[in-house]
Parts: sequence; structure tokens; C-alpha cells
Amino acid sequence: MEPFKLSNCKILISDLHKVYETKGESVAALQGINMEIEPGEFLAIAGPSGSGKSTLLNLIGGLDRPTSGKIVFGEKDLSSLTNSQLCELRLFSIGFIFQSYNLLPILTAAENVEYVMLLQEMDPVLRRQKALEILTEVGLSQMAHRKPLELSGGQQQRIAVARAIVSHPLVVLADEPTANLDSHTATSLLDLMAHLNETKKITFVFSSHDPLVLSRAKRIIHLHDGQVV
Amino acid sequence: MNLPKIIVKLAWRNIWRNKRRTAITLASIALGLCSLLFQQSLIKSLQDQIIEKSTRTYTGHIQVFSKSTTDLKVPDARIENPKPIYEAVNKISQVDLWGPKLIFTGLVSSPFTSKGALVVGIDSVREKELTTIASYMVEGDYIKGEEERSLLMGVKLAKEMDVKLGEKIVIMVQGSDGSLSAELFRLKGLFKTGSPVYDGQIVYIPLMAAQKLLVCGDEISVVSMHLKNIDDIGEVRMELSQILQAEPVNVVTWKESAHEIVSIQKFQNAILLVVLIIIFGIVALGIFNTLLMSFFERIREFGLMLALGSKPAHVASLILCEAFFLGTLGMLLGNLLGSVIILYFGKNGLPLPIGDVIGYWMPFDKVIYLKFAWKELILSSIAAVFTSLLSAIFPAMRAAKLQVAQALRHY
Repeated sequence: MEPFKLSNCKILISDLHKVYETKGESVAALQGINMEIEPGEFLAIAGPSGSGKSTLLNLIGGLDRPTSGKIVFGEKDLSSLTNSQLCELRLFSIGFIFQSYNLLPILTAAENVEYVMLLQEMDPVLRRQKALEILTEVGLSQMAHRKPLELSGGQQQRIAVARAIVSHPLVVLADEPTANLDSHTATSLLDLMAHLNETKKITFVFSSHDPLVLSRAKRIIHLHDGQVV
Repeated sequence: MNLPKIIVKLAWRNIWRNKRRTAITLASIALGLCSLLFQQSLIKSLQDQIIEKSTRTYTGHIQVFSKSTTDLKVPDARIENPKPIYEAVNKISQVDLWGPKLIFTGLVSSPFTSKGALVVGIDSVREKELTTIASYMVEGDYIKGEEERSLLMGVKLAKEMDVKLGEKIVIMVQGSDGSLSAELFRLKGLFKTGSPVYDGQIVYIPLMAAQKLLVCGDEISVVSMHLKNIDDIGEVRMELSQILQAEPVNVVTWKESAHEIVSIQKFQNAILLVVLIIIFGIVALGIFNTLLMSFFERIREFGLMLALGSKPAHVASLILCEAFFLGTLGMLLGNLLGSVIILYFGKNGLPLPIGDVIGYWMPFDKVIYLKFAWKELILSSIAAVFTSLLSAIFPAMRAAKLQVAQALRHY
């Protein structure tokens, strides 16, 4: 069976709503978002805490389903996809970078980078070769056999970046990728992301409320109370 | 490395993330299984010993009675023509040993007193091989073939009757013709089995003397036989029944003639089943607790795996694989520990107070030597792993149903 893979990463979002139901209370996290993301963009979603940045990224990445509205990812409306198809979409077309690194603690740096390729059932030799290449690219080839707990926060986030881009996804979604890093490490990480965006033409969509990070974006979308402002 | 291999690798590393918790879980599985193996071995060894003692001291594996016999312990009817039975038994290759008996109750008198006893007329040569009664001789000698006037009795009965070796004893019975018949014997030997019933109520005399006493010609009460392999009991019984279908006899196994032993077995097996359920229940709760704690600690990790493209089935497989490792390691440890204990008591013996109780009815050792109950051991080992997997189903299902975004927010 052919893997569910997209060839075009233009993302169209229309009238997107997300309402969380907690203990009988409804909280509207997104209220009618409309936007477009072009292929190869280096786009920041800005806004204070609780403005809906993470929710928006989760919906774009197929990690959650909207209450109403549409996200058309390439040629596909995400709401029409089954959980299994969403799973394949994430596997083959989207890379994720999380605020708190989110590496698998029992795997080494190289194994963490290899994990996605392994799920893609790539040849083991090629997989290891690509993992080492990308680790070299993010400056961590010497750390390939270390486990996450033996690495600094900046190093862990670089490995997360390596994992996100190693299988050449169409888009990388980064939820506050520099939030836990000092300014020097954050700058270095942003340099890396910008470099990958330039050289590999990977679309980057990242959320932040840090002015330093936002200053690096080519385009910024501001969210406030779940709405684009 | 392919996907199943990485799941196995992840599972193996995961179970050692919290070494103390894993050690406690493994210890609970191992100790539970070990105690179960010990109990299974104890009960199996006890049952085997009871069967061995019962069949080797009195009943044999298979017996042939007259069709009119209603009491299999003290047969109340005799086989008039035993020759076809002897011929049939000799034809069956699985029969190792056999011997005829004439059993009746009579009054046994010494110069000082009289006692009612169970008189067993035996073919002394065959009986010596067929049963172990000769091995319990403590004074005097066992009956030799031609000695028509020799008698064996237990030390308890001899003491009660105040008779010594070589002294005269008269056995008085009602003959088959209705007349009162009495014969004089001399005490040839004393046996001591430790069983008050055997030692105080049974006397052995030669078969021909018994037949003469009862004025019954060649009649006998029963033919007992011991098989080379007890597992052939059903087959031999069927074959013998077919050969003897024209004869007025019944072929029965020790399970019918010593049905109280079967009842004891059933009772012990029922207790074992209850113990088994309790132990596996405790083990299952232990593993369930470990896996559930581990699941809650790793919700974010499972969310991450799903976010990266793992299918829910991969995550569920990971938890099941961890449970399999825990169950298998616990099972191996339990088997190792249980085997050491069984081997130790197999060599040195285990003093068993219940021996006194069983020993009232039949010769029974007070020390039991444990042996492996292989079938039960294999079943329990499989059950340990299966229980472990069963305990993992709920956490595995929970993990497979996680909402990715929600799981990633979990701290």
C-alpha cells in the first residue's frame, strides 16, 4: 500500500474553530481562523500565552481535530482523513519540534533521529547514514551515541530539529522551540532552522512570543484570544 | 533494525528504566510462581506416593473381582474358576506382576486371646514381588512357597495377642459349606508398616491353606496386577475386559477399589486450584500496577510516538512486549527458585505431618521426597506469562486510544 504522502504543502485554513470542553465549561481556543501558508515559508505565529498558538499548530499537524472549519493540507482536507491517514500524514509529510524537546529518553541521539525513518521502513544502513549526516549538519555528530539525559537542553533541541527534518518533510511545525533555551542557544537554533529553510526549502511554522525569535521570521501572524489580529 | 525489533528493543530498555520497580515486580512474579511450583510438586509427589503405596501394598493397579462382589475392600464373593483370568493376564504384555488373593474375615486365636482379623491368603512367591509387604518384615521370615502352616502378622496384633515367633495360632472361619472350620498355623514373621490398620488387623497365610480353611477348592477373591506403566491402565483394563467378557468377573482399576484416594486427590486438586487463582490474582495485580504506573508516567512519551507517526498498535505492542518481558523474566526466575527448592527437598526429603494421618490407613512414609510436576510446571509457566500479558491489555488499550495533543500536554 502506498504511504499517504502529500506533494504540495500549501496550507489553507478557513473559519477554524476549536472549543475545549472541561468540566462542563466550554473554552474557545480558536475562533474563526483564516490563513494561508505558502510552500517554503518561514512563518511565525505570535501571541501571548493562551492565545491559541499551540492549538493552531496541533490542528495543522493533525494532532487534534477542529470543532469546525477546514484545514486543507496540500490537496487534502484534514477533516476528511481517518486517524490512520493522519498518522501517515504526520509520518511522511510533517516534522515536529516541541517546546520541551520531547526525545525518547531510552534511545540514543542517533536512534531518536532514526526513529521516524524506522517507522517509514527505510533501509537500516541508509537510515543510519542519514541520521549521522543530519547530526553532523546540526553539529552533534560526536553525541550520536549519547542518551538525551546526557545532553544539554540546546543539544537536545538540535536533535529534535534533526529528527524533524531528517526525512525531508514538507513542513516543520515548531511549538515555541526556543522557550527553554538561553538566548545564545536560541539564536543558534534559529540560525539552523533558517539555514534548513533556505537550503532544503522546508516550510517552517513556529510559534513564539519572544521578540528575538519573531524578528527572525519572514512573516508573522498574530493571534489574540483565538483570533488573528 | 525493523519495526518489531525496535519495539522489542524499546520494551527491553523501558523495563529497566525503573530498576527497583522492575525488581519488585519480578520478585512478586517469581515468588508467586515459585510457591505455586512448590505446592504443585508437593501435592503431585504426595499423590504419587499415596497411589504407589496403595497400589503396592494392597490393591495393585488393576484388580479382577467376581461379578457378585459388592465390597471391593473385603470381597464378599469369590471367583470360582480363576484359570481363564491367569491365562488372560499372562497374555497382556503391559502387565508386569500379578497375583491371586483369597480375602476373608476370621477369628485369630492365640493361647491367651482371640481377635477378629482380615485374613489374606497369598501366593507368597508372586505376592513378594507384587506388593511391598515383604519389605516391612521386622522379625522372622516371609512365607516360603510350600510352607502351608506359616502365618505373618503385624507387630501390633502380635503384641495385642501376646504371641511370639514360632508360637501356635488358630484361625477359625465359617467354611463355604457352612461348617465351622479351623486350622492351626505358626507365626513365621512379623511386619511393621507403621499403619495401625495393617499392623493390627491383617494376617497373611498361604493361598492353598486359605482355600483349605474355607473349603473352597481353587476359588479366590481377587487377582491383582501391577503394570509396567501406570499410564496404560485404561488400555489394559479394556483389553482384559474384552478377553474376560464371557467370565462372571469385573475388571476394576485402583481408582474404583481405592476411591477414597481419588477423593483425596480431588480435594487436593481443588485446594491447589484455589491457591493457583489467589497467587495468579496477586501476581496479575502486581504486574497491572507496575504497567499502569509506568503507563501514567509515560503518557507524554506515548503521545510523542503517536505524533511522530507511530500507529496506536505500535504503542499497544510496546506495552504488551514489556509485559511479556516481565512475565517471562519472572517466570524464569520463579522456575529457577522453585527448581532449587524442589531439588533440595527431592534429595533431602520434607518431613510431612500428614504422613501420620494417611499412615493410619496404609503404610506411608513420614518424609516425602519432592519431584517435579512437569505438566503443571509447564502450564504454570505459560500461565505466568499469559497473566502478565492479560494485565497489560488495559494499559495497552488506554495507550492506543490516547488523544495525541492531550497526551503531549501531560506532565
